[in-house]
Amino acid sequence: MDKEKEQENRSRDRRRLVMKEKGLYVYGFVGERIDAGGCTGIDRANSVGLLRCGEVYAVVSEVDLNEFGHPYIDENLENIGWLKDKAELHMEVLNEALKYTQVIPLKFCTIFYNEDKVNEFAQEHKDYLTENLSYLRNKEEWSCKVYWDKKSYIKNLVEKDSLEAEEKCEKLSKGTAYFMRRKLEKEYNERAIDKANIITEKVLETLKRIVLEVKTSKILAKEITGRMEDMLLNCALLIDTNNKEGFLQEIDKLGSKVESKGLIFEVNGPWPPYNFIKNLE
Amino acid sequence: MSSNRVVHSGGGSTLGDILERVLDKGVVIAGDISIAVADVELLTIKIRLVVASVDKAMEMGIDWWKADPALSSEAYRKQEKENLKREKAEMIEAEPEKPWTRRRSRRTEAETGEDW
Repeated sequence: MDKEKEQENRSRDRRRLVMKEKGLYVYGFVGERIDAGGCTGIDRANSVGLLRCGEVYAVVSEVDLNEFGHPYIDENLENIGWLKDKAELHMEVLNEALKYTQVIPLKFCTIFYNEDKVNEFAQEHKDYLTENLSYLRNKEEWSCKVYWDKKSYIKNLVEKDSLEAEEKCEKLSKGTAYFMRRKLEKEYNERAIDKANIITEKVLETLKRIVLEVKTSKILAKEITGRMEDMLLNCALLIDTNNKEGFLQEIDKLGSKVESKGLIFEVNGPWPPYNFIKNLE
Repeated sequence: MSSNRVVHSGGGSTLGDILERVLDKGVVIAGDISIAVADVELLTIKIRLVVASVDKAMEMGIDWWKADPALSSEAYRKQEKENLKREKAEMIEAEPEKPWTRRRSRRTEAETGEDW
C-alpha cells in the first residue's frame, strides 16, 4: 500500500473516532439543586440536567463533538445562523435556571470531555464558585440602554434657532449663505452631541444612586441591536432583589425624564450576572 | 410583573443583548484555546467579537465615558486641561461673538445640576 493512501486512511480513522465522541456542554454553575428537567439543550436534542460537583451543581447537557468539537466548531462559528441559534439557546437555558436561583454563567461553548472533568474543575475552583455565588445571592443583573434618532433630535433641538438663522441667511449673498449654512449644520451637530453626552452622564449618575453597581458596556452597532436609532449608552446594573419594586419605580421616573428629552430609554432584565461575576485569574 | 413602559422583563431581549453577553462575557475556563488543554482537559472556543467596538461610537462623537471619572481616571484632569487650552485659544482669537458660532460649554451646563 502506498504511503499516501495509508496516511489518508489513518486520518479518516481518527476523524471517525472524533465523530463518535460526546462532550459535556456546561452552561454555568448554581448553588442548589433546581428543577432543570425538560429544558432542551443547545443541540436541540439532549435535555439539560444538573451535575453535582460537591457544594455546587453544573448545568449541563450532552453534545456531539462533531458539531461542537474542534475543528467542526470553527466552521460553525463562521455561520451566523448557527451562532445566533446557539447563543439564544445558551441564554434560554441560563434564563430557565435563573428562574429558580442565581447562576454563574460560563462562556459560550465551554465543553468538557466528561463528568469527571467537570467535577475536577469544580473541585479545583470550589472557593471561586462559592464566593461568586454568595456575592450575587439576592442580586439581579439588569441592562439599561439609551438610544437616539440623531436627525430628529437635532431638528427638535434647534428648531427655533434654525428658523431665525435661516431668515438671516436669506439676506446674505448666495456664497456667504452657503458657508453660513454649513457652519450652522456643524454647530447644531455639536450642540446635539453635547446635549446627548450631558444626558447620558446624568443617566449614569442617577443609575449609580439607585442600584448597587453600574458597569458600562460597549456601544452596539445598529446591525446588532436591530434598531434604526443609534445607541448612546449601554450599561449593566446590579440590583438588590429585595428592593426590586423601588428600583422599578425609580427606573420609571428616570425613563420618563429621558424620554421627555427626546431620547429612547430601555431597561431589561433580569439577566444571568454576566457583568458582575469575577472572572478566573 | 411590571406594567412599566420602559422595562421589559425577559421578553424584550434582543439578539444584541444575548450575543454581547454570551460571546463576550462569562467565565472563561481555558483562555484562548480552541482544543483540549493539557492539565484540565476541556474544550473551549475562541470567539471573535461580533459586537461593534467603542471606536464606532467615538466616530459618532459619543464620548461620555471620557468624562466619567469612574471609567477614566484621567478624564477629569484632561477635561480641565482642555478647558484651559480652549479659554486661552478663545482669548487669543478674541473674535466678536456671533450667536451661531458660540460653542456652548459642556462642563458648565453639565454642572448646572438638576435641570437637564
